[in-house]
Amino acid sequence: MTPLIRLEGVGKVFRDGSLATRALSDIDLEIAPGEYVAVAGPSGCGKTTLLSLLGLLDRPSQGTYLLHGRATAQLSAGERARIRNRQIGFIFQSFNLIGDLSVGDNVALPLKYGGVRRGERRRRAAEALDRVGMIDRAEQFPAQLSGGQQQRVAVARAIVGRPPLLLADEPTGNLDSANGAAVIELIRELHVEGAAVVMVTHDPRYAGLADREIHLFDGRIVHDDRAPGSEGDVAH
Amino acid sequence: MSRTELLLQELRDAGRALGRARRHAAALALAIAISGGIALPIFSIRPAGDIPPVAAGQGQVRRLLVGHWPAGWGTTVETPAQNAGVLASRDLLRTFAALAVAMACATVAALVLSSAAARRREVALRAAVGAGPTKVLWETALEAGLLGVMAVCGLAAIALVTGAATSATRPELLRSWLLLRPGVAALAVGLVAPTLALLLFAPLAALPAASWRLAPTLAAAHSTAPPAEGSLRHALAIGQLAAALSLLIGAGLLLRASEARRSNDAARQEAASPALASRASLWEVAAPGDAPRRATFYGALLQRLANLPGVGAASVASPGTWVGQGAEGSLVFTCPRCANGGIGTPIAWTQAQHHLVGPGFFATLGVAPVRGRELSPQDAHVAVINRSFEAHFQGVVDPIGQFVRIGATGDWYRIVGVVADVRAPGIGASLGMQPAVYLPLLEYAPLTADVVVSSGARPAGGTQAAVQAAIAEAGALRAAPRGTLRAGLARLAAPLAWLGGAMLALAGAVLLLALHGVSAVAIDDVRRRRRELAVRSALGADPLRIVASVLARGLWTVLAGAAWATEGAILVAWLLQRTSPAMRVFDVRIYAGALAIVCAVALVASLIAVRAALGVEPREALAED
Repeated sequence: MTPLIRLEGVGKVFRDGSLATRALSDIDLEIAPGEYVAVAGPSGCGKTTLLSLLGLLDRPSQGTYLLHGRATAQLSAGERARIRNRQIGFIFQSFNLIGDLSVGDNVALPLKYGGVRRGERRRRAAEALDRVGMIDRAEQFPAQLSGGQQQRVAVARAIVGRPPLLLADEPTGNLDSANGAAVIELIRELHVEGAAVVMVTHDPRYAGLADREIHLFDGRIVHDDRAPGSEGDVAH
Repeated sequence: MSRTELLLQELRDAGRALGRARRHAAALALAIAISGGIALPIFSIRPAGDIPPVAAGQGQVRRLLVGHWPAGWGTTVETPAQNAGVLASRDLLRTFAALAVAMACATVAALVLSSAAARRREVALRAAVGAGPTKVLWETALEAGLLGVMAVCGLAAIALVTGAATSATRPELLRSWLLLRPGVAALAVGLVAPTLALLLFAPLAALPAASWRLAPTLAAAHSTAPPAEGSLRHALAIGQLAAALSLLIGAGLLLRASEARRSNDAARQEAASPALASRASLWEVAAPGDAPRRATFYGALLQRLANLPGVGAASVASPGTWVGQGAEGSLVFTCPRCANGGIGTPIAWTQAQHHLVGPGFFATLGVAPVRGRELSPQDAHVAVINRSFEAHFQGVVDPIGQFVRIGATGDWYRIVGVVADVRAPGIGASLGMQPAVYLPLLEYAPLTADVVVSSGARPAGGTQAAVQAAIAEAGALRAAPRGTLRAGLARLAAPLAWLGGAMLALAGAVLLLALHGVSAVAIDDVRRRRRELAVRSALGADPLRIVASVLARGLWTVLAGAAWATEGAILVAWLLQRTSPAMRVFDVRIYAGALAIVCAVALVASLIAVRAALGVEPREALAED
């Protein structure tokens, strides 16, 4: 079966004038459709950079990234945007909701860029909000919500387009334990329904819930459950 | 969904987006509307006819001398409409209006950059959820288009008001000449330029956020402009302040010059002849008969006027002489030791005005001879020249006793005196000094002439009826009072004041734009320093210190603007001086006053940023990132 994600020798170097910072080195990684992967590691080890590359928010400095077997290096900005819209859902640590848009409009935003009609957008946004228990807040604005509520809206936005891949960057980082647990439960449900999930987390409790754990250190994968010698396996 | 439905829906979305960013949108629309609204009427000013001559009949000097004019007498008469000074003034005003529009474009650019910086994260997020660069461009272009329509509506309203104000305040001298009729240039500068700046800048400013690396933008706690962009906006704000300051200084110098024309110069002239500038009255008379009879008429008229009680002095001259406007042509003069390119040239030539003046004309005006004497009733084939003409003798030859000839084949006239330059004040004046030669009017008596009557210490009104009667008794075909010389001078100086007022309005507009620019830069600076301010606050910095640090940055902007403005102001003043030679380039009070106004505006702009700085909550700011 073609892997959903395949990274071969991927590296990322950030340059600021003459100063070069290597964030990722020689990353080889395959993620199958429907897999639930937790990426862990200390601060600054490259977790978020890896997620940005996977989400086509950034380009690797070296190596190859194949998404659904298709090389992404030569994709234009428009094609990358189209792939993000149709195949990837993002959940950010800092929610990243647009403050000037209502909750409903925030959730419907990916559908708008997907060319979905207004009525259909509203219906599907309402469905997604209902799913995360925020339907009664559709007309409110992000500033009127608590952190946990904002993250649930962000989850609704990520799933509204029914993408096959969910990328979550420390989704519980800004939440208390109760809200954190609720969001993780939501993500787990989405995985059970068939979406592949790649979640960056610091929290070993949540990392342990995933099918597979990857540990990064200084920009390199130092542990992968699926690597030869590891005992991890894909299981729903 | 049909294309129309889709477009309508996108327009609705664009409208909602503008509604959300209404402060920015209003600032942008205002910048376009103000600059265009002022520039459009100014660029619509076009000549529609001649300015009425300062003195009636001036355009027909040759005809005035029919049958008896000096050989070689010029036929070109400078009237204000032909005078490059007026056209240059109009072009200067246009240049300044274009500068105001350029500053508006800079403001549009700064506001668009500021808006793009504030929305950088939002645009990156839209890109992250699937909006490609084309989509982001299209959305921004739609927003800019809608905003452009709003701005153009505001621009039209302001243009109507400023157009009406321009029309209503036009001085009498320019009334028949200036018409507010927008042409291609007016529409291009006033309407298209600032709107185009918006339509081009807005999408270009938004595009990088959607095209470049999205991850760092999404990870940032706040949307701020990159340092290079901040520097660009800072430079734009400095440019706006410099332009505003330059225009303010230019306007101040012009207004001061026009004021001086009305009062100070008159005072100077009054010192020489106490009655002249304020009370000397001017009459236009038509003489009867042929040339000898006209000469007799003028002689008798001057005799009658001199004998009138209350009249200090009276004289006569060809129309327009009192403001230095008359026929112009080529003059040849003897100058034994003069050199041209190192080669001795006993005969030289120059372009000069020529006038006819009666005996005692300069004394009546209050202009004392610098050398020699002025013309007497018995003089024939003699001439008086002015200081500008005297300069052609290169300081090596005394002009008294030399000869001057009008044209290549005319008669020679012996120079008997040199008088100060006399020229028209205001923007209709000749550019620079104009050499002039004065011939005896009683030798070449014109059909019409200006009679100047100085009433000594008494008000002119007291002798008006007597003067009228004396002119009639002398046998004048026609006589018309033209008011006092002071009123005439004020009338001529009015366009200068009008130009100053127009510049002041332009400076006000640019100042308003600068207020926008400086406050946007200052607020962005505070946003960028949020964390730094929080750290200072956490370490116990007094709020006054924070206020001082924000104000200090504003002050630096003003000082940098002032440094540029000094050069700009000198350039503006120098350009203006070309149309109004009497204007002073340096006037400490004007420079200091303009700087004080700009400082006050910058202070207001900085106070907005101070408010934002004091609103930084250390706990929140330190928890960010």
